[in-house]
Amino acid sequence: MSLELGTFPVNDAVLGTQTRWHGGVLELDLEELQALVREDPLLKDSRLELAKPGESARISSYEDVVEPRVKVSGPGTVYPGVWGRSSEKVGTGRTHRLSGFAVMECLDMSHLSNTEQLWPSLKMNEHPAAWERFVDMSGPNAERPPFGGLNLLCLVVRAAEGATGEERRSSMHAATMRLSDRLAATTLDIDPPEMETFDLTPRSGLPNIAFVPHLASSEWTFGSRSPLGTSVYGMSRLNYPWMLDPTEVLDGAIYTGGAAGTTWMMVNNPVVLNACRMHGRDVNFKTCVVQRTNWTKEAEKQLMADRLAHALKMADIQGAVITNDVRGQRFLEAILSVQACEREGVKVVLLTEEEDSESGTAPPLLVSVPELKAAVSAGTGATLHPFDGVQRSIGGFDTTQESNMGEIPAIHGRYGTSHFNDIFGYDTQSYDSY
Amino acid sequence: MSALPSVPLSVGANRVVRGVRVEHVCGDPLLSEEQDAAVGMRIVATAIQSLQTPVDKPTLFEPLAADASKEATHVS
Repeated sequence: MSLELGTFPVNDAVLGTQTRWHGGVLELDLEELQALVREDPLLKDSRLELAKPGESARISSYEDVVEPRVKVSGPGTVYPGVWGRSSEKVGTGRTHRLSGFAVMECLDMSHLSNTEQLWPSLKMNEHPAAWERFVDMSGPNAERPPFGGLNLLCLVVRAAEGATGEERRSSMHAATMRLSDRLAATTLDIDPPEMETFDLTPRSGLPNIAFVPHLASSEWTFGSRSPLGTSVYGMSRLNYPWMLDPTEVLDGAIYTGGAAGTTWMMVNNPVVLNACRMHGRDVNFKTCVVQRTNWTKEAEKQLMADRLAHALKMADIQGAVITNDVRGQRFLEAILSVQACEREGVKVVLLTEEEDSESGTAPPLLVSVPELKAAVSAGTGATLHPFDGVQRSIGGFDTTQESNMGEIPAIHGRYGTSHFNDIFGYDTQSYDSY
Repeated sequence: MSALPSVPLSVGANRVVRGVRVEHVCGDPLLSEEQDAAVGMRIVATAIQSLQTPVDKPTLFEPLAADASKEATHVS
């Protein structure tokens, strides 16, 4: 089990007359790329915009962020199983990626009624942008979501009337994937400037570890067959734990446009990448187990936690990093997994965001168990500084773009913001900075 | 009344009655209309009963437990 990952850094992205990567610069032929999007009649009103780090720009109501990747050798297709792509197992051979660059898709729903907007449809009247997800490309909080430091090709889709929410989002996600494929193809015949090899063959004498991201399923919101929301090989259903090779994650097996995550965050996951780099030296990184959450009966949550612990035991895992993606009842599922694993003798560290402490009066976690021995905090999601006003607004969910451009007050912890949910520890509040 | 009793119990709620599911705490739409109503009545009746039951620590009431003697469980 070995994956070579070739990196093509994008130090700058510019508009040009052809689409190519050359010496760290990604040139984009917008006309060609736009045609690729508008193949789909539902996307005839869409547009592409380029945003760069340091620019006075705000991108709002984004749904997913995708890093262009392509398989150069080895079986399968990156980001497998979604939008008609092959479900063949990935994770071996060679994959190329564009780093420092991503396709960000935004759904402009400003002309649609609340019921037409479907999901995410929650809005706060006073400071809408504090609830919806957004990225500032400059200012004191630009580095908070990792996307502020990337060159972003933004696909802004004006939702077609008459289509269902599911149809709109399917069209948008599929177009994002077409863009990602086209841009990653610019690297096909070039030797990568940087290459990293992940050979995860187990070595004797090292403890076996697993990474267990808990990822909410959208099955309850959408139809069970829909790949909308977070999926594994295109399967978004609530189901038994998925056991993946870590390199399958690096090839995009987890596709997540869900409530808290993005596809970019899984292929650039710091837990996966760092555990891969520790493999063979400190640990054997045996598996990444995706635990689906949103079971709505406590007995089901308990059953899934028990099955996870049993699966890890069967795989001879001694230690696991457990993460959670959405708070509330999904956190209960993560904490039950901690308990079940510890009871089976699997040592666990929980990497999690904290609840807003409400000035020290509230507990940091919704619920805890005595078995929780080790936890790493990824912060509360609060920002110390307000968000400066910007000169340019991309995306948009409000009827007047101008209202997206003003100053936004500092964000007070979680629950009340979806600005950026730091699930895996990218942020300056993460373990790295302590 | 909660579909996820471990949450209110962990913050020290005195009386917690187990409901069915997060999206329908006091009923079960998978059942027939009559059975659904009966489940709802049983949960609510248990809740009212629990208010008349003295407790000295967080206590879980199980309206749908197969064994009626397990209707109230003390949580240590």
